[in-house]
Amino acid sequence: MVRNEYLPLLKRVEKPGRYTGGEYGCLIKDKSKLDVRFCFCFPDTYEIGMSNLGIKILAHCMNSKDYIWCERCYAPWSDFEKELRENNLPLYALESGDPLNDFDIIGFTLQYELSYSNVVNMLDISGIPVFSAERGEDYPIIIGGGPCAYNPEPVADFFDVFSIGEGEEALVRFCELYRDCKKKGMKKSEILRLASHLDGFYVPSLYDVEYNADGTIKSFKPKFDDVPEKITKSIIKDLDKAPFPTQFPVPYLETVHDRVTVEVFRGCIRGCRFCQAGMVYRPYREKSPENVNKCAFESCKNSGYNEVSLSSLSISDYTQLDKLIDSMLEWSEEQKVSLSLPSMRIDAFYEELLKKVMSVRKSGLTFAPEAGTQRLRDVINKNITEEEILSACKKAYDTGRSQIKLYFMLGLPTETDADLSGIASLGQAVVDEFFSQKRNGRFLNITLSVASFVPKPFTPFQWQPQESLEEIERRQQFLKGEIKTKKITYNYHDARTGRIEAILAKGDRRQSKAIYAAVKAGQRLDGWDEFFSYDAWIKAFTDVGLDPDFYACRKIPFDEILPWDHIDCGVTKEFLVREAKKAENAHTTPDCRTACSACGANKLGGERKCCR
Amino acid sequence: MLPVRVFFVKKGDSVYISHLDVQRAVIRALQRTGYKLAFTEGFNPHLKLVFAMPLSLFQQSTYEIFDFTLLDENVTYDEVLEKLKETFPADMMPFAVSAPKQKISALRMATYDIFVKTDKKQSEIALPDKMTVTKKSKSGIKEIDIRPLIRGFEVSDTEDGVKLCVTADCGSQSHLNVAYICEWFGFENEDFSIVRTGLYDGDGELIG
Repeated sequence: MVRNEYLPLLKRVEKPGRYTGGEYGCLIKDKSKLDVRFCFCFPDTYEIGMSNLGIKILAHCMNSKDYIWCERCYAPWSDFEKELRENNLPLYALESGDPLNDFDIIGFTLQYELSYSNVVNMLDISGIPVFSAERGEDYPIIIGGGPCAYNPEPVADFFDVFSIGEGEEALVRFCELYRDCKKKGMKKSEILRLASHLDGFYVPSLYDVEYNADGTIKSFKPKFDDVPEKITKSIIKDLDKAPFPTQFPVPYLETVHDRVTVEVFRGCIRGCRFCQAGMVYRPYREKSPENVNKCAFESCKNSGYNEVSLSSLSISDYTQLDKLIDSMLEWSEEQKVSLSLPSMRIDAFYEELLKKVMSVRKSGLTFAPEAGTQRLRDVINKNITEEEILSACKKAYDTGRSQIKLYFMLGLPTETDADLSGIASLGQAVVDEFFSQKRNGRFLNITLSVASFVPKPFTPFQWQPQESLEEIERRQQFLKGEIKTKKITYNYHDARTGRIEAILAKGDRRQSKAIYAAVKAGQRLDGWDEFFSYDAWIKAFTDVGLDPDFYACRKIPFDEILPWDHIDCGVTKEFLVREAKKAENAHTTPDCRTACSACGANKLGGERKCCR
Repeated sequence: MLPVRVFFVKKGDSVYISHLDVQRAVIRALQRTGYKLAFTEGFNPHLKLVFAMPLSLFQQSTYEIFDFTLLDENVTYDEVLEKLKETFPADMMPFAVSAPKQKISALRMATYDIFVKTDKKQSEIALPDKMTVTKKSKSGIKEIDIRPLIRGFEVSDTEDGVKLCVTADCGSQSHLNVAYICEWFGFENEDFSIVRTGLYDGDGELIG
């Protein structure tokens, strides 16, 4: 439902379908019957946002309430942004066509650090003051959530409130509070004060941060006694009881993932030390196979999609995978629905699966050793051996496959050139395995994809520095030199993107000025190569008096106050310190099912299937 | 096997999507019906689905056609129409379903209503004997005379401009994208809207 004044603009931009809505399955409600108008903003393009499962789940939870209407808005591409600014028109929600400023609450999901510029830009295009301190009663409440909200400090000055953790119940509770407060005529500041009393809600304006002369944090304290010192994230204890959408808007446009995605479990038992998701989504909780199967079946029926992806951090760890696959096969093959199981370990189960599921046979084979030597893999606690990789490759080759992808990182803690050579020799071993038997090597292609390591909050490596840009580039070139066969394709990303990511990931509140400066200088859509500018970002940081290296390149002592210390993600700092120390000596930690390492997340609840 | 011809409109929000998007939307809508649909044989089976003629981005229509095949023969065309009305997006709604009359390949021409916002009056707009436009294609830029492809042309005045009723070649043999007519007259993209109103065979019969 686009207002008439936008129609001429739509004829001047690429893919105008991004901005029109009207999809089958989109929800229109009667405005007169509502108490809360919520606009869910996804800070990236329509094609990316429509592939995101989180926004579907949260919109469904809110729309299940008669008094809430949750609509959608996505970041405009540069051509549409130009038209909006030139014509003085604000961004609007797709369902109603109403401008963002008409809404009671605007929510942003923070998926990755480089999307922060889109958050600021979307508010700016809509004529909404970007800093929360400058927004009076006439402007909506701006709430943030999602994975990056575990360290929300770099964007804290833009948001009125954050929902930390899982939002299914939390967001509805917030809307309820908002409705009740509005009925009583309460002001925004009073509403936010009350919100700070709800579990899992962080109101940045109610805290004071003090800094030492060297830039480290001196103290982080609530302004009032009734405001909590630490905010513990919300979780859904029983995933089977959590609402899950089987009806949702089906895009006209081609999106990144044109398929049904169903969650299978949350959390992870592996404990890889670089992985933020594996830590912050604990405790481990499974959905029952009956539930997953039902969600998949209903979603396909209602959407017309012919592919289902089973989403989790490590699908092989799902305790009832065979039962789930069998029940899905009862209807999926007949209805020509293919199954996608990303993140599978290549083991005996996988072989069985290959025989059962036609569609899985078509998918590529991927491993993520992450490091080139067993020593370094032990440091990062990634439990995969060269033997396992080679044996799985052999099985793949025997069934006629010859495309293998191997993911690595470089710049990991304690890494030396010997570890980089290890990546090349592992790749070589995978190639050699192919030729160990008489096979046609024409189509053999081994891809080594190497990303630069970014230390993330709430991981055992959060105290680690990122290597300097020069060093990362040297290592990227060194590895290139170590690869001796044309059968290997070596991919690596520009280290500059990783550098800006690292600065923002461990940022504090002072960074909001830099983010604002970057946006004012023209940065947005930073997740896209054509728009990202390393120089613009570095300039933005230095112009506001911040040293980028302070955030990305410092080895932080264990006793320093971290900008995210006031957030409790479940896993304790003591656990992370233990893991960091073990890493220094390349000592591994077993997975949670083998032995509990007392990470602390189970105190939040959950089914504790993995804790003995 | 039951061959089914579906007549549908394209309007509103669906004006802003391409033919490929329309195709994708139709495939999903058909899959939502739960009917057993005919697929092609071979290595990469896909739905047996044929459109009469793609419609360009920004163009609307009150008379579009696609054919598909149902494996279930025990269903009436009326039932199929009711089912499709449940599964199609509102802006691409089917309005009739029947057994195919002519083959889709019989398509030769189409009628269009073109609404133009302009100061020009009906009397000022006439078709000349030659209308050369530049067509950009993958092989380069070509100059083409589109006048021979126009079979009918009537102009009437409207409140804020004119309405052109055009009959033009349409189909795989010879095809005119009538936006070129607007381009020739110098009308701006945002000032005109094109609505396709009928698809015809070589005898001037509506494709049914």
